[in-house]
Amino acid sequence: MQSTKLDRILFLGTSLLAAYQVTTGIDKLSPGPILAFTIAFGMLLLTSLFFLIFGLDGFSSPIPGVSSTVIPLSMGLGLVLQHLPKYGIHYLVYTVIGLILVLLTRSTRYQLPVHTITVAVVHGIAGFTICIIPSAIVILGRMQLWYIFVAIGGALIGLGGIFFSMSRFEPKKLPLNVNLHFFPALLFLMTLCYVLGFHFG
Amino acid sequence: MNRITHHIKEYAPLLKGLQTSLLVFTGLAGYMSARCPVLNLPTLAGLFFSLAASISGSTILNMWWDRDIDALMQRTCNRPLASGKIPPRQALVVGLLLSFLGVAGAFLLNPLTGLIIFSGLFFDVVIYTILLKRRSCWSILWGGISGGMPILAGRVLAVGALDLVGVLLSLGILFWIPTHILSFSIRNASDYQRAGVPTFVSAYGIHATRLTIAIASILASIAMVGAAIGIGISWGYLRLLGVLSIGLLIYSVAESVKPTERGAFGLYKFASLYMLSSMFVMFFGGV
Repeated sequence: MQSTKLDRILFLGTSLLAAYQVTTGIDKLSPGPILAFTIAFGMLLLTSLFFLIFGLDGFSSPIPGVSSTVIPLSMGLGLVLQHLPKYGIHYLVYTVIGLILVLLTRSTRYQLPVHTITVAVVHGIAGFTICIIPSAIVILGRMQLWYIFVAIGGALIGLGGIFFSMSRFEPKKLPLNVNLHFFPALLFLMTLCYVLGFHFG
Repeated sequence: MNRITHHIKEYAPLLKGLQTSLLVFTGLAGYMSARCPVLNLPTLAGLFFSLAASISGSTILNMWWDRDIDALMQRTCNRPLASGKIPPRQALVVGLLLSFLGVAGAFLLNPLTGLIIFSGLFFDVVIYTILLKRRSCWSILWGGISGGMPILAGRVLAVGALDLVGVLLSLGILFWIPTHILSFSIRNASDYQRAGVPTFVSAYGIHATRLTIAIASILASIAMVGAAIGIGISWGYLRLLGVLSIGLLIYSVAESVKPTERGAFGLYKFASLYMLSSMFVMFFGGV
C-alpha cells in the first residue's frame, strides 16, 4: 500500500515529537525512568523514520513487530520506575521475559494459539500499566490533570494493537488495508498525547 | 533582466543545490559547535558566503572537467555542460571566479580557515576529479576528505585553531560520504561502466561495496558521537544522537548481514537523515 503525502507528514510529525521528547521531555526525571523512556521514545522515533523512508510497505518487515513490543514495554517500565520504584525490579524482570517471549513467538513460522495468548498477555499487561498508573496518579492528585494524556496515549496504542491483531491472527476480522489507512494518524496522536501528558502533567 | 534570469536558470543545475546546501550547513554547524558567545552574525554571514561560493565554484569546475563522461551517463547527460546548454569556457570562468571569491573571503575571515577551504577545493577539483576519478575507485576517499573540510573550516574559525573536535567532525563527514557516493554507484553501476569510471562495485563487487557502506556508516556515527561528547553537548541532545546512532548501526548491520536493494536504499536515506540531524544537534545542542 502506497503512503500518501499526509501519511508522510504525520510520520515526520511523529518523528519530531519523539525527538523532542528524547531531547528535553524527560530531562527532570531520575536515571532509571530516563533510560526506559529514552528506549520507548527512541524506538518511536526510529519507527516513524522507518515508515517515512519505506512508506507503509515497511509493514512487510519485522521492524514494526519488534517496535510495537518494545515501545509499550519500555513505556510501562518507565512509568513503574517513576511512580512505583518499589516494584521496579519486578517490572523489569517482566519486561525482559515478555520481550523475549514475544520475539520468540514472532520468529516462528507457524501461528499457534499459545503464541496469540502470549502476545495478548504481554501487550495487555503493558497497556494496562500505561493506562492505569497515570490515571491513578492524577486521581490521587500527585500530578496535574494533563498527565491523563499519557493514559490516553496508552489507550490509543492498545487500540492499535487490538486492531492489528484482528488483521493478523485467524480468524481475520479486519482487512490490513483498513488498519494501514489509520495507522499514521494513530501513531501521531499517540505520540502527541504522550508529549502533552509529560510536558504539562 | 530576462537575460540574467535566463542565465541563473541555466546555471542553477550546475550548483547541485541540495548537496551544496548540506555542505554549507555542515560548515555553519562546525562554527556553531563552539558555542556562544562566538555567535557573531557578520562572521557567520562571511563564512556562509565563502563556503557557498567555494563549494559552488568547485562543483562547477567538477562538471566542467567531467562534461565528456557526464554526456555518456543517463543520470547526468542532461546537465547543462554535458548537453551543451552552457559554453564550457563560460562555465570555467564562473567556476574559477566563484572559487577565488570563496577562498579569498575565507582568508579574510581567518588565514587558517582560508587554507582549509582552499585545501578542500584543491582535493575535490584537482586530486579527486582531475587526477583520480577516472583511474581509481579509491578516489572517493579524497572526495570524502574534501567533503569534511567545510565543517573543519567552520570549527577552526570559531575556536581559532585545529582541535580534536574539529578533526572528529571532519572524520564524521569523511566516513559519511562513501555511504552517499557508493550507494549512487550501486544504483547507477551500468552508467559508470559505460563512461569508464572505476567504482567499488566494478572493482570489488556489490557485496564488498555494501559492506564498505555499512562499515563507513558505523565509523561516521562513532566520530559524530565522539565529537558531540568533546563539544560538551547537553545530555538531552546526546541521548538523541545516541538513538539516531543506534538506528544507523541497525541499518548498517542489517545491510551487511543480509544485503538487499531495499536495505541499501534504507541505509542511504537514513544516513542522509542522520547527517542532517547530527548537524542540527551540533548547531543547537551546544548552545
